[in-house]
Amino acid sequence: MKKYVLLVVAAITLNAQSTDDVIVQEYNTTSLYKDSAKVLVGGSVEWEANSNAAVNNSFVNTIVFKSYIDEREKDGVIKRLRTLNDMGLYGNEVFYAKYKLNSSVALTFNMANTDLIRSTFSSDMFKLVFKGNADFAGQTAHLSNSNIDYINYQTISLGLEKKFNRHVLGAGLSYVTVGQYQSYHIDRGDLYTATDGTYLDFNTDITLQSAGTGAKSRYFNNVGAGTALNLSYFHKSESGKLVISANLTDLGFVNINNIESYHKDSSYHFSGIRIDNLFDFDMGSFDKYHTDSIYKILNMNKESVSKRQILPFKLKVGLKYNLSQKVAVLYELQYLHTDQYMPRVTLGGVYKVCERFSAFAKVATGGFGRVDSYVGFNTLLPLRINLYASLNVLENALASSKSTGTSVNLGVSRIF
Amino acid sequence: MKRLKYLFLIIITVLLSSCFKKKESVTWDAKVLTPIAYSSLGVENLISDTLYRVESDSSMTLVSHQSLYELKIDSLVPFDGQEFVERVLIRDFPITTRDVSHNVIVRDFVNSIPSPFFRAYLIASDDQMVEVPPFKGLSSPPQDIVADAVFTSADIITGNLNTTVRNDLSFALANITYTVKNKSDGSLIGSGVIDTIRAGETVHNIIPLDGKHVEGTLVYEITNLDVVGSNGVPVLLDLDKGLFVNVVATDLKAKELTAVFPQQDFIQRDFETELEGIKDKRLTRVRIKSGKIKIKYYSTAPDQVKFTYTIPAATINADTFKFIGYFNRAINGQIMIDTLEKDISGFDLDLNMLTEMGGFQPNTFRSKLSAGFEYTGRMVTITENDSIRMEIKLVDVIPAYAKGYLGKDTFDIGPATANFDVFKDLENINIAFDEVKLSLNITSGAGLEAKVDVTKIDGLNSKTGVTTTLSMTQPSVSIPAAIETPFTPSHATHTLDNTNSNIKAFLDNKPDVLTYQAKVITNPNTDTSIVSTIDMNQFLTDASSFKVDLNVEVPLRLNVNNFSIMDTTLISDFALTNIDKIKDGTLSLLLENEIPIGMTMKLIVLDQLDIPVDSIWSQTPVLAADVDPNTGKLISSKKQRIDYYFDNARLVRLLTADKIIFKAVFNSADSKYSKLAINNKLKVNLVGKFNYLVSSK
Repeated sequence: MKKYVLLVVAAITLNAQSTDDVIVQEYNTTSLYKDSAKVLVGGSVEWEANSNAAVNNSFVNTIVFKSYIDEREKDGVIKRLRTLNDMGLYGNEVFYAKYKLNSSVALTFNMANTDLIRSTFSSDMFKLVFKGNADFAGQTAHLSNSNIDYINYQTISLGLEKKFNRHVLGAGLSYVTVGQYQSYHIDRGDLYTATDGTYLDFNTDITLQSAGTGAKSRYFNNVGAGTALNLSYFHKSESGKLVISANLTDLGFVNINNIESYHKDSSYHFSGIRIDNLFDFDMGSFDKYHTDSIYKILNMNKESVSKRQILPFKLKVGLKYNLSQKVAVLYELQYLHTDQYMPRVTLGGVYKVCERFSAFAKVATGGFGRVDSYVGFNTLLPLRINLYASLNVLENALASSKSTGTSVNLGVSRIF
Repeated sequence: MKRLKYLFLIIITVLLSSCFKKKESVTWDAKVLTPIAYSSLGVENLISDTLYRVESDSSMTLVSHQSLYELKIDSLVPFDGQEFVERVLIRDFPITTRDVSHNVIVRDFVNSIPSPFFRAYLIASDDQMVEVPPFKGLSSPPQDIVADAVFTSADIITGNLNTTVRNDLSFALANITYTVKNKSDGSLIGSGVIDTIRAGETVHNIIPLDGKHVEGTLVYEITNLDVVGSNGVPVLLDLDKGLFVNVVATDLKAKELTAVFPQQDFIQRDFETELEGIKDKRLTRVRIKSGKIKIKYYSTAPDQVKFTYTIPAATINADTFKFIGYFNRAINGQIMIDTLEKDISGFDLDLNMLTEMGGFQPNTFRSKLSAGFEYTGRMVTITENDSIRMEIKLVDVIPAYAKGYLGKDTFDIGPATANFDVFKDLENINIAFDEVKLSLNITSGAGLEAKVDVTKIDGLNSKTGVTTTLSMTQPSVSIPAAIETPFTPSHATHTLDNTNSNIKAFLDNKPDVLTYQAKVITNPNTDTSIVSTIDMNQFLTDASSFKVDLNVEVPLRLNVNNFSIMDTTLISDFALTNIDKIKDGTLSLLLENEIPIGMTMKLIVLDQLDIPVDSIWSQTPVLAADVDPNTGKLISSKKQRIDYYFDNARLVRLLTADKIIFKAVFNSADSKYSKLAINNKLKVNLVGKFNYLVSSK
C-alpha cells in the first residue's frame, strides 16, 4: 500500500497534467454556471511515464523508489529491447481559477508547470549505460539514433469563457518561460572495445545542447520565453445524456537562448595515457584526463546557440454518454505534440455508485506506450469540493516486470 | 471532524513527499573495460639516443664521437715584430729657429748724404717720379733686430745665419756691406757684402755661426751702400722703402739653445722589421686578428715631441697604418718615460718586402718614423745632452689569416684524459665487438700537410680499475693540406679494427676514461734547405683548426644478464576521484615483446615509510622475441598478461600509497648475442576491467 501512496506522491513531485477529463469538466462547468456559484478554484497533477516496450514498470519502479538497479532488473529490460526503443515522461501541474463575471461569462486564470522527457535509444546504448562496455569486448556497440530531449517550462495564462446556451467556449493566452532545456543526440555512434581492452574506437556524430542545467532549480530560470494559446469547448445536451469536452493547451512556441552546444562528427581512438618513458614517467600525466577537459580532448568546442521550438501542445477530446442513471460510456482522444507520441484513444465505462461517487475504468492505446488500463473515481465532497483520480497502476502492481506505463491523474476543485 | 481528516491526509502526503525527495539518485553497477595507459620500451630507453645510429635496415650501431684535440690557428703562428730602438741627441739634429725681418728704408740713409743740396732734392722728391742720380758711400745707423721672441741666446756649435735682403726700391744698389753684432757687447756675429742688387731683386747671404755666441737682440748695420741710379729715367722715389732684411738661424747645433722652435722634424728614419718567434716560417702575408704597436719612449726634450710611425705595408680598406702621438715634454730636466700603444687589429700586413736587390724577403716589413717639435710658441732651452729614446715593437699579434710557408712544428697532444661515455648505460650489457670499428678522424682546415703520431691511448674502466692500452700496427696518420679557394678542409681517417689493433680487447674492458697522447707535426716532408721546393702558398685562417676525433662504431649485438632498470615514482600527490565507485576488478598488464631479450617486470607499492604494501609482478618471464639474426628484424613477438585482482580496499591501498617502484629485469635467452632493430619494442598496455558504481546524479 505504501508503494502506491509513494507513487501518488511521486506523481505530484514529478508534476502532472491538468484534469481535463470529461468527467471533471462536466462537474466544473455545470457547477460554475449555476446561479449560486461565483468562483471556481482547482488544481490538478498528471504524471505519465511509458515506453513502447522495453522499459518495464519494474525498472521504472526501481529508478523511482529504490537506490540500486540490480542485474535482474537490467536483464528484465534487456530481453525486451528492440533495436531502437522509445520512452517518454510527461508531467503537468496546474493551479486554475475561474471568476464568473455574469451568468454567461467567466474570467479564467491558470498557472502550470510542464515537464517533457522523450528518449529514443538503441539496445546497445541501454546495455552500455547500465551494463558497461566489458560485454562489448571485441564488438561494436551501436549507438546511432539515440537521443534524449527534455524541456521544462512554466505558463501563466489569462482568458475568458463564454456560455452560449448549452455550449461553453473558452480562450486564453499564456506567457511561457523555459526553466531547463537539454537535447542530446547521437546521430551516428559506434563504440568498439578491443578484445583485450587495449583501445577504444569511438566513431560518432554527436550533438549535446543544454540550457539552465546549472541552476539549482529548474523553475523560472528564464532561459527562454514564448507565448501560447489555450482553447476549450464544453457541451452538455439538453437531456444530459451526452457530454463533450475539448481542450487545446500550450499551442505556441518558445525561443530558447544561450544554449551551450557541442557538436562533433569525428572518430576517436583511445589507447590510454601515453607514457613516454615507462621508467621515468610523471603521474601528472593523468591530470589532463580529468573530466573537465574531456570536451577539449575530444576537440569539442562550445558554441552558444539559440533556437525556436514549438511547445508540446496537447489536444484532448472527451465524450461521455449516459446509458442510464447509473451507467455511462467514455471515449477520449489525446494527442501530444512530440516525437514518438502516438495519438491515444481511450474507451471506458462509468458507474455511479451513489449520488456523490462515481467509479470508472478505461482502456487506452497509444501515447508513449502501447495498451494501458485505468481505474478511477470522482467524488463530490462536502463544501462543494470535487475530487477526481484516474490511475494506471494496476499493471504495475500485478505484473510490473511485464508491463510498461504508469500514470496518475489527480484533480481537486471547489465551487464558491 | 471531516475537515480534520482532510488535514491529516494532506500532512501525511507532504511528509511522505519529503521522505521521497531525500532519495537523491539511483545507482547501478557497470562493468567497464578501458585502456588506462600504454607505453613502449625500446633500445632507445636503454641507451641514450646520442650513443647509437639507426641504419637503413633499422639495425642499430653503437656510436661514440669523442673529440680529443683541437688546435686553433692562433696556436700555430702567434708572433711579434722585431723591436727596434731609436735614440737621438737633439743637438745632433740641425735646428732652425724662426726668422726675424727688418726694413732698412731710404730715409735712414738720407743723413749720411754729405751734399745738402742732394739731401734736399731727395726729401723734396719723396713720392714723386724723378731721375735718381748715382752716388756712393751711404750708410745707415745700426738698427736692432729683436729676435728675443725667437731665441734669447745660443752657444752655437755649428750653424748659419741666413740673411735675405730684398731691394724694394725702384732703382739698383751696389757694394752693400753690412755687419751683424750682438747688441749687448757689440761682438761681431758676422758680416756680408752684396755686390749689386737690382730693383725688386732678392739676395741671400750666409753668415757662419760656428763657435759663436748669439743673443736674442742683434744689431744690423749697413756700413756702405752705393746707389747705382735710374740712368736718367724717372722712377718713383719712396723714402719709406728700402731694403727688406730677413734673418734666420738654420742648421743649428747648439750646446744650449733657448728658443721658440718652429715645427720641424729632427728624426726621420726608415726601418726594416723582421718577425720574431716564427721559427722557420716564411710568411708573406697576414691579416692581423689582434695585435698592437707599442712605443716606449724616454725623453728629456723640454718641449712636446710629435711622432708619426707608419707601416706602409699594413693596410685596411686602402688606409695605411699610421700611429701619430706625442711624447710629453720633460719638466725641469726630469726624464719623461711612457708607453704608447695602438691597435693594429684588422690590418693586412704584407710581409713579402721588396728588397733593394729586386727580390722579395718574407717575414719582413718596412716602417717609417718621424718625430720633432711642433710650434708651441713656448720658449724652451735645449742642452747638448737632451735626447729622445724610442723602443718600437709590433707585439702580441694573433693572425686571422696567414700565408706563406708555415713552418715545421711539432705540437704535443696530451697526455690528457677524456670521459668515454659510450658504455655508461651498458654496465650489465655484454656487447659483441667482433665488428667494432674505431677510427681516428682528423680534420684540418690548415693549408699545409701534417702528420699525427699517436703515442698512446689507454682505456680505464674506473669501476674495475683495469686499464687496457690500445695498440696499433700503424700509429701515424698523414693529412693533406686543405684547399683555400673554395675553402675545403681536408680529412684523414685511420681506422682500427681487429686486424690492425687490439680494439676488441680494448673495448671489452668497457673503458670510461681515456688517456691519450699524440704529436702533430706540420710540414713533415718539407726540406727547407732547398728554398725552391718550399711551398709558399700554405695558409691558415681563423676558421682553420686541426681536430682529432675518436669515433667508435659497434653494430649493436647484445647479450644481457640481469640487466635491470628501476625507477621510483612518487604518487602521493596523485588524487583520483571516485575511487570509491570502483568496487572491484582487474588491472591487466599486457606485454608484447618484440625484443630478442626476455624480461620480467615488477611493480612494488610503498607506503610513506618505504614499506612495501603491495606488488605486481610477472610470474614467468616474458620470452624473448624471435628476430632475424642478421638484421634484427622481428619474426614473431611474445606476449604475456599479468592480471592484478583487486577489491576496493586493495585499490585504495594501491592508489593512496606513497611511491611505486617499477623494475624490469632483462635476460638474454642464452649466451648468444642478439642483434637489435630500432623498431623492436616491448609494448606495455595497462587495461582496467572493473565494476563501477554508476550514479544517475
